Amino acid sequence: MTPSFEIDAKNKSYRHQYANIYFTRLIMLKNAVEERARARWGRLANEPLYVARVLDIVKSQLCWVIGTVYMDMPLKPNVLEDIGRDHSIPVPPPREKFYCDEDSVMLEDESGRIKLVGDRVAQEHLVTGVIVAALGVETPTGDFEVVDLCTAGLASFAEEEVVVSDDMDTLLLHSSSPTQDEYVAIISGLSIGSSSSEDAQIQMLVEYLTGEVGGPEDQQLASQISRLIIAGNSLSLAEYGEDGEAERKPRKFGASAQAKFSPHPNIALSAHLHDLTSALPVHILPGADDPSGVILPQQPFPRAMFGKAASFEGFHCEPNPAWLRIRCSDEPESLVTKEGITSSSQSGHLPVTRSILVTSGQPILDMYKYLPTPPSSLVSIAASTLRWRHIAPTAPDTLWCHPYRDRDPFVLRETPDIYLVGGMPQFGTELLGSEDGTIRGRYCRIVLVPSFSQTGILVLVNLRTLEVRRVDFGVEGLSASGGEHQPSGEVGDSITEG
Amino acid sequence: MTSTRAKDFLTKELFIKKNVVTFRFLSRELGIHVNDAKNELAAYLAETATTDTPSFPTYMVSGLAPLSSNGSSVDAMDTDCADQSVMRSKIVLVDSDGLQDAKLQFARIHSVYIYSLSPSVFRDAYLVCEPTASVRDIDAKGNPALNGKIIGAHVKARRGPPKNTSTASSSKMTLDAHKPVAAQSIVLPRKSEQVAEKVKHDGPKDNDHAKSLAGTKEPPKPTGKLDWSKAKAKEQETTSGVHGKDKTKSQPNQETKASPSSAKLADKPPRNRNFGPQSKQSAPKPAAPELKRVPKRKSPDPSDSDVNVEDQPTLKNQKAAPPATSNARVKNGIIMSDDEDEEIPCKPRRNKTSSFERSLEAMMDIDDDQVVRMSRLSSRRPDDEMDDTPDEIDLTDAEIPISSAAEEEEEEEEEDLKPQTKRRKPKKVVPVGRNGLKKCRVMKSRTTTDAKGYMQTEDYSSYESVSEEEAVPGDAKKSKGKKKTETKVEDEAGEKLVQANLKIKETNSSRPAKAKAGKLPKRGGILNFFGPDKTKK
Repeated sequence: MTPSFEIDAKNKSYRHQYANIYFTRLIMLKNAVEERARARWGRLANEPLYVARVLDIVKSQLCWVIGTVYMDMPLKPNVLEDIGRDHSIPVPPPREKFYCDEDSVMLEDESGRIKLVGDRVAQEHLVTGVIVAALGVETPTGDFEVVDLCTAGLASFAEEEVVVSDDMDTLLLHSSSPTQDEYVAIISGLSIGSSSSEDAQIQMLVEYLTGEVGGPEDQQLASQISRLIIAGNSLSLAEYGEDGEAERKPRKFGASAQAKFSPHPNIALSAHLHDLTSALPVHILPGADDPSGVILPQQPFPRAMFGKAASFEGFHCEPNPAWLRIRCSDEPESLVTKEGITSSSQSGHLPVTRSILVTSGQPILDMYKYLPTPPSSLVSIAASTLRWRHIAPTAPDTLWCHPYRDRDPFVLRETPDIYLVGGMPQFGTELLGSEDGTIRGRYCRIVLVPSFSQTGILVLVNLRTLEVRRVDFGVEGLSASGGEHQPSGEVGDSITEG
Repeated sequence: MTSTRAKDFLTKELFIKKNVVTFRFLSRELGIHVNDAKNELAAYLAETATTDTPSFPTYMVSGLAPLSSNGSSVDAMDTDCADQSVMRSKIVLVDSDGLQDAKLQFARIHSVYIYSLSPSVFRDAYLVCEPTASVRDIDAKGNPALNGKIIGAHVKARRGPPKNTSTASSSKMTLDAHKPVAAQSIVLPRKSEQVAEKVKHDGPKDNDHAKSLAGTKEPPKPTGKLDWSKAKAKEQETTSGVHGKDKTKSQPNQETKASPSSAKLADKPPRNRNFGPQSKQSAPKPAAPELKRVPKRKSPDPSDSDVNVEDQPTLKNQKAAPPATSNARVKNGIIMSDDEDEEIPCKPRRNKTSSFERSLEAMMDIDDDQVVRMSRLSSRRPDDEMDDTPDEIDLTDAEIPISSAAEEEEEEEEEDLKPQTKRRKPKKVVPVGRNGLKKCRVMKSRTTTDAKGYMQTEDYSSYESVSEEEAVPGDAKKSKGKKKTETKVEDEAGEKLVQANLKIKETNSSRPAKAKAGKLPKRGGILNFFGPDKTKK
């Protein structure tokens, strides 16, 4: 049902051309887009003509066509530029944003491409690789003047809905709701081993999750956390980085300096993981900074890497985008069947199964470069990916990904209940419902999980209500290796304002 | 207030060993609950504050942060992003100087307690991590659940023989014979803690708030102590059964006191607390296929795959011995391994001559057709283990070349014949419409999606009946000419033969198609030349 992001030996071939991905994606999403576009434009006064292929567009007639968006951006990294570069000149740093005024939006399919123009295109904030339907007229210059755009919209939800909300309400009234709640904890960016890693905060985090920190209320909340997901960047890329380290070393030199540098960051991580896995199940995903491949479905860490932590059954190494399916219920297992749902609802405990999609954030950060930020934020981009039914549309273009031949695992056949994005500069969340009301009453909780080492934020998502809590870990008055005040906003602000 | 044991220990650590002592370290060393350890630290600090050897506390403040106040742009932004408020807890580690400031950040303070004591004021927060190593050591030896570590239900060691034995013992409690039961029993400590807390929450909770709001540094002792003692008792019951490595450090008199209540609780918790641990425990099970966890583990399991490997060959052997060898040849790498694997399991089976004989009989009964196919493969390397069936090989060797050769010849003949028949057909077949006029060729195009998902547009021409006014010979001429020049490829010969009046053009690169593609344009030219005559006739 849900695609597997693991690449087995059979498919581990890098010979294929990337064009296949675009083609597969178009085939997979075309029907969904077409269906939605027909519903949207079918009742227009003079029903616009559906043209099956981009090149078949009829001149000066209102028609619509489905294709893949390609953003032609002069600032986008170009392999030809890399090759033609004068190597005596140092490589310019990668740009924060690609977009500029000369960008043009193309719509292409297997037959050809056409340039989309019009204000509507700019409003839609498209990125390369999105499948859209465009309604409009071909202009004399050969461009396609777009009147309206239509994307695939939210896919149906992966899990069946919890029985009835009415029951839920009444239940919540008479049974103490907080005790029924079950949380999933998400962190990202522990960045163990970096020069600015916040050992004290990580220590507090571990103690919090094991239920030792805080008063009874904190401990009760901690005891309701049923699972921890580590969404990437557990280890720091610049662990013994030459540049950054050299600058900071003088400042850091002192009594604590020797103590800070553990023999190997992985040992420190494993020790923390061991503490955690002995208390609750842990899922760990590789991220951009982790010692893992950069090609996008990042494969799970080798289990043996984590020493004693690997000896627990509750420790799971996941691939980078990962689907998890988590069931929370108060019923004994014997009742967890179809009948179990009804019987349990009577007894006041609804079993809830939630599908969770986790990524370490690379796709969102890549799309972020395509779009001017004031209108579109990281949260809105994450929401868009759900509406596009594709979590990494820029994948073969500017985001490295495996050359899949006959499938595109990033296409969302189903919408997850919880969509977690790690590695973000700041915290953010949104509850996304379907626009046109086709799926009523179902929402997807989007959570952007910021880097723990920079913000000290642990995110808790209530599996039952999809409510989000955040727990900030901070150190004050102590030179907590950079965590003196809550630095949560610094990075986020610069990005959102930029 | 502080026990002499704690006091001795703290004095020794702080002023002789000059170590930082965190509440966790203390709880591990003394074998007490973390919440008790927090109280001990506070008591020790209060006692020694006025002496000439003061220790320096580091506080931890936990509570709820204000939703959108504080005026910081971060908060404003968060609320912008989130259309609904996000409850925000905060836990801050702070030294004694900054404590008051830190408290101002909270909208509601859950607790303020001493995280650690140190012999001197320290400036680097990392120092609080130093006792962690020894804490881990002690945790590894003992049972951290006794110290207040909340351990989830399904937390199990991966392949721990001791745990398995414990499942057996604990399975009495929960009548289910399945493995997960073990997890359930482990769960209980966490549950009981929870419940105990919950029970307590009704009353003392409010007191706590009042206290904490008043800004007392005292940790919420009553709740902590009472809860945990009960919990501990419960834990001990369960965990001692489960783990078998119970720490007997905790107070026995409390245990007895609490036992009735814990017994009471024992019924409740499974329901109340289950959702936490149990769901966790249940989650992996139903979700196993999706999570890919179970298959992942099972696949490496050698027993399964071995069984399969063994079974398949035996089946083959029984059905027909030759096929096995022929299969083996197809994939050389596999065979080699198969042979190696087979040698051991198969030999005993062959000794049971009955089955082997049966297989031989079965082989003899095989129809000639089947034998031909199998041995055709084997004929490439006929020397393997086929000693007992040499005549069959001969037969098949002889037959196959003949048949294949014959087929090829036939095919060639067909190809030769087809164009000829086609050449004649246009002349014959131009259909006549109902009005007596010959039908006219019309160009059409249709779009289909082929098996691979490619959209293909085919231009084809077909006859359509013409009304009398339109029946101008010139039209027919033109259309035919177009058609012929554009006609390139035809891949389905059968279809063409059947539907003589329908010509489909597709770009396809199969072998017969190419051959025709070469011929068709020529013919098109010729036919074009002769076309007018035809239509006029």
